[in-house]
Amino acid sequence: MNMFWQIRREFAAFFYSPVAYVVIGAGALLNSVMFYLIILFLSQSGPAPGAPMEMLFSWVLFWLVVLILTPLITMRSFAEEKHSGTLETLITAPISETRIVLAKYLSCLAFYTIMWVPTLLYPIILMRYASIDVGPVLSGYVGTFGIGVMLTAVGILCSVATRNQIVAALVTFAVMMALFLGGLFRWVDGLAAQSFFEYIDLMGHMEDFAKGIVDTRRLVYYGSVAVLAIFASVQMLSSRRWNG
Amino acid sequence: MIKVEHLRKSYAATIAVDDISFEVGEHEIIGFLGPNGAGKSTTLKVLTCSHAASSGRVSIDGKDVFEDPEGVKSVIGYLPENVPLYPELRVREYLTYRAGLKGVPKKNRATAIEKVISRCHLESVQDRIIGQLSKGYRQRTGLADALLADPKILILDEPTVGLDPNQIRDVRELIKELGKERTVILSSHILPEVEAVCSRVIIINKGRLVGQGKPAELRTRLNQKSAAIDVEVIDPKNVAQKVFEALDGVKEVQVKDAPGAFRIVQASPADDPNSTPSAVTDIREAIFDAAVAGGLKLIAMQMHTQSLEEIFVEIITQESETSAATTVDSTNVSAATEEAPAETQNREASK
Repeated sequence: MNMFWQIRREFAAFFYSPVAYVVIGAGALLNSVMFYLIILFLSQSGPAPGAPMEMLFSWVLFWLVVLILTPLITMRSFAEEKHSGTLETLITAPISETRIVLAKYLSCLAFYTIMWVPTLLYPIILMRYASIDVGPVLSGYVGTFGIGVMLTAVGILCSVATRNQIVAALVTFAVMMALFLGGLFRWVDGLAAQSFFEYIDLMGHMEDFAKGIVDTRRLVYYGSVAVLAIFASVQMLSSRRWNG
Repeated sequence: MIKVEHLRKSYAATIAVDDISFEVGEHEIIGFLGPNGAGKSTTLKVLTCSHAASSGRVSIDGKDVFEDPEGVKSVIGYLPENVPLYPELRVREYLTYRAGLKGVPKKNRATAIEKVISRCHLESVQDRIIGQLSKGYRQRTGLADALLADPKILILDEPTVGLDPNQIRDVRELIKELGKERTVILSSHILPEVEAVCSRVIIINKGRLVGQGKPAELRTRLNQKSAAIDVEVIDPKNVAQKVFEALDGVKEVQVKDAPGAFRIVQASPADDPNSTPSAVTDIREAIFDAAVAGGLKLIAMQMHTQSLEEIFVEIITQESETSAATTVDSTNVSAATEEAPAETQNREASK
């Protein structure tokens, strides 16, 4: 009850700040441009390179949306409360640190999910003009959500670590880029840990999800990173008590 | 109710609180007194589980702050130092959110909010955005939040800072009233404030407990030695210094920068080993008469009040000079009591 109450407030708090509208607006705009381009490409003569929704989820532009907008969602969560001092009132309320972190995390994840809601229009539009394969579309959304589960947790951790929102956003972006680029090492031949890099290759993951392949190993990966980041956030928030 | 044993708290290189022990009973109003940076806020932060102690034990209402922070937090209402609030929320929204967070049951929530709103006189601003409120109203919003869950213990860190004299009086009245049914700890660097409100005072300086006791005891301790009076005269014949020096009970007349301005320092009873410790006599009337007799026109006269920081500086130097100090060097503190609002304003201005 308490927890849900806090999530509600955290979620509502997004909409008191212009960042929320910018994120949702930018997300909708970028995705629309992407969708429009896809339709244009597919209207050209010659063999189609793939299904429209598959392309939506696996293109480079998809990563632009994820990697740029996710830090903006998570940056204020703790940094702002630290900066304004309200974290002290939050900490001294009779709730545990775990609960505080989880509430902020879940509200960020909810916001991330909402950011993708406008794209639901695309399959609806497509369905009017052609038959679409629902399976890959759903798995594409599963992958998008899974990546959000991981990356918003990383963002929360970065926000706990600083009292400056801009720093939080930049560090989040850097860590995400590292996670993202790390996967690209799989294409370098002769590396010892090539299979490891293949395992964490986010771009490859999304290509599979977009094709309709739901590989649970990937979901486990996202979940593990998220749990680790959330655990670290709780520890870091608790350690605040020792370091002031 | 509250038991602090050998509390120590150090940050990276500095020791904020060094071996403080005290106890607070039920329905006591305790004043935490000390200059800025003495460790008041740090101690309160440890009590409210916002910071953890480096060593020592703190138990509140029978619960240890380290082992059961949530249990401790649920019996405490806390007003942090700078009253952090969410500026984008309205007063009522904020209180509603905090009530939910503090686990006030849904059916009591509306009544609890009404109660604190009327108690802190927030009716007229309850639908306004916190960011646009004056400092006084924000302070009261913070106080309302602290009272929301009807806590047994109220911890207020500098509750009257930034308020105007009327608001200060209101808040003090409110605190006194609240102290009838719960335990209150408040911190302050303003002696008259602590005197007016608290049943017991704990003085700390540089992280150490310097003394504790009832305000009256403290006052006599601080009030033994001497007092000073600032005067301004129109003095065409340039005789003022001699006239005042001739007065009974005057130890020294200091010439101040402005023309015709003097500080008359009274001899203190403590200088005379035979006298019992007591407050110095008021010689203002004698000064007036002497000025008239000497052909001076007296245009201003004021008791010189010493800020607590100054008193502390003296306490500390005194303590280091004579390690087993029995008397406390200080000038007239009772004057500060009489002029509480004015003194508070000066402090605000000097900040």
